[in-house]
Amino acid sequence: MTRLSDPGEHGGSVVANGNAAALTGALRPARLRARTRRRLTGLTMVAPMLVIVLAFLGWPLIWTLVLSLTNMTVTGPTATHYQFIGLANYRELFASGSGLVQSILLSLYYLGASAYIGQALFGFVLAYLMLRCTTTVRKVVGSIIIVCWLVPEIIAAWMWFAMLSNGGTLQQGLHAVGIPYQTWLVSHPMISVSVANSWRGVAFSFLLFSAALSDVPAELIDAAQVDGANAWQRLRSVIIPLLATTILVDFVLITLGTLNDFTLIFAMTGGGPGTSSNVLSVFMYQQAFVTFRLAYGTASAVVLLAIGAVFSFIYIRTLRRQGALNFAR
Amino acid sequence: MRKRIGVWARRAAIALVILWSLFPVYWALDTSLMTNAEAQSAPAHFLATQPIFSNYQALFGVGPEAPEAAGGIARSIVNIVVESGGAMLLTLVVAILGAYAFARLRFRLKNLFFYIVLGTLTLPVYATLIPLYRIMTQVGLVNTYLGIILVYASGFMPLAMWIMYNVFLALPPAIEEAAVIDGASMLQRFWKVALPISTPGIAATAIITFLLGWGQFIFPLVLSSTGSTQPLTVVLAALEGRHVVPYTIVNAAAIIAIAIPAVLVFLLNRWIVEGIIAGSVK
Repeated sequence: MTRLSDPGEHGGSVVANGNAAALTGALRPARLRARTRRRLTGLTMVAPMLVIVLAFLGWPLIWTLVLSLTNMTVTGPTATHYQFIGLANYRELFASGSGLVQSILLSLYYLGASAYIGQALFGFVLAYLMLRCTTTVRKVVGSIIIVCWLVPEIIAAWMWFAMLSNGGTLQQGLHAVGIPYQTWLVSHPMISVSVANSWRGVAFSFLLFSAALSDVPAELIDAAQVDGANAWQRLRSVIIPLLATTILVDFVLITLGTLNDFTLIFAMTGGGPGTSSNVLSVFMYQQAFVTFRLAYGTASAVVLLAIGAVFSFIYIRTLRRQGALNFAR
Repeated sequence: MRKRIGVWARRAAIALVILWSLFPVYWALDTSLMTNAEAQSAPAHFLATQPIFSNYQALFGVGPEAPEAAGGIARSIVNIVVESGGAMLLTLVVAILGAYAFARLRFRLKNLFFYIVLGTLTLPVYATLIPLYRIMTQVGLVNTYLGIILVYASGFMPLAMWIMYNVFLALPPAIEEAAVIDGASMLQRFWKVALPISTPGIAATAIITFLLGWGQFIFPLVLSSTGSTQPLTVVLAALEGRHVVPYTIVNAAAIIAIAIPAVLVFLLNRWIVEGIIAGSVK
């Protein structure tokens, strides 16, 4: 570890790791006090953060796990006098006809269409296109895209709802270019929400790829060009391999963001018509707050958590490999 | 010749992207400048014939068209500022302290604590929504600013800590070492050396947490049942389709909800971008 940690700490750390109690007598009291104070300083500085995170994230999270094993409902006798029913909620979830499988498939569709194509691929193409533009152009276009991303999700949903619903602007516009007149939110709900999510979220991938692309040394690309590589070969064999980590990080983060996305779909289609856009997050909400089966809803939340945990694990492992967490050894 | 085609193709593509990105926002802006009659006339007008600002005035209770519900919108604008701002301040102070300790100090269970906080970075937060509502009801924090601010802070903390952690790690160690040689205490080192040279990072974290708060919907929806704490996003969603307030006035309120992030992005673009990069790939 070459980084500065705590000066004077290195000498003491051997003692701390060894048999501290036996050696304390050998240390002068003043030095001991200073070291204890330093230790306490660290804990004190971290404590408020831990308290807030554990109280408002950790504790409810544990309750989510616990409630998923009960039969709690929003109303009725089981609202207050609920019982533990083991894994019955999960058995019901994974039984055929629960709608979970459909929801998982819809979530995958949403991921593929809006996150991977609409955000990552589109974001990459855009970043690549703008690589040779002037700083001003890049900044202006970048800002505009970021604004779309920072428009409150519910407002974005509302604007797209207005454009795609009956009599909406886009409906009229598409009709004008020869696409049959239809209410897009009803005839193609998944396409509608995916388009809205692509509009909204492209900025994140664009920013990551822009930063990574501008770090690719120009000499490397020039050298490939001198060797006779065409644009596509330069992209495939030089640029993309250099961007491997960025691509992985981007995919993991937009996967998590999209899986967790609730507001946009909920506000635009409510999961409908019927259950035709009932992605996992909306499915969870429906079970808990529409059919009032709170416990059953938390069980589906746990399924979502488990899927998310896999991607979180990949993300943190990538960061570690990259050396971003190099103190933690 | 081929090169020139390439240049024009790129310009066309960029123009298309700008048009695509701005159109929905432009549409809301255009509608907010129309009278209700004009907004509902067919075919749709792509440019308000006579731009009016009475919709914005009505939001703040000025003018003959100001409806009852407009008072609720004005209040919700105050609420969203208090809640996003409060969450930003709390998150910033707490996350900076924690991030500095993680980056520079040694203490017991540091790694465990670090991974607890970082692990929640990618948590689908609304998976905690159901029990959270019960807990907040039990401790009496529903319909309070404090409750919403605390919940926001817990959600934004991991990202804020992670950005600030990367900012502190990237500081050249020599500067702080020099201060230590000059006899600075831990606190002085943190307060007088590390913090001042981290201002860009702190600013980035502040803007990002503020904007995260600005966009919240489902948590304030569940945690506030009355207009006293409902932010603009929640109130707007409730107005949609209810026809209690003219459509054009709702558009004006939506434009206000968009305007704040838009102004911040155009003024502080660089810091936002750097913060986002530091918070994801660093």
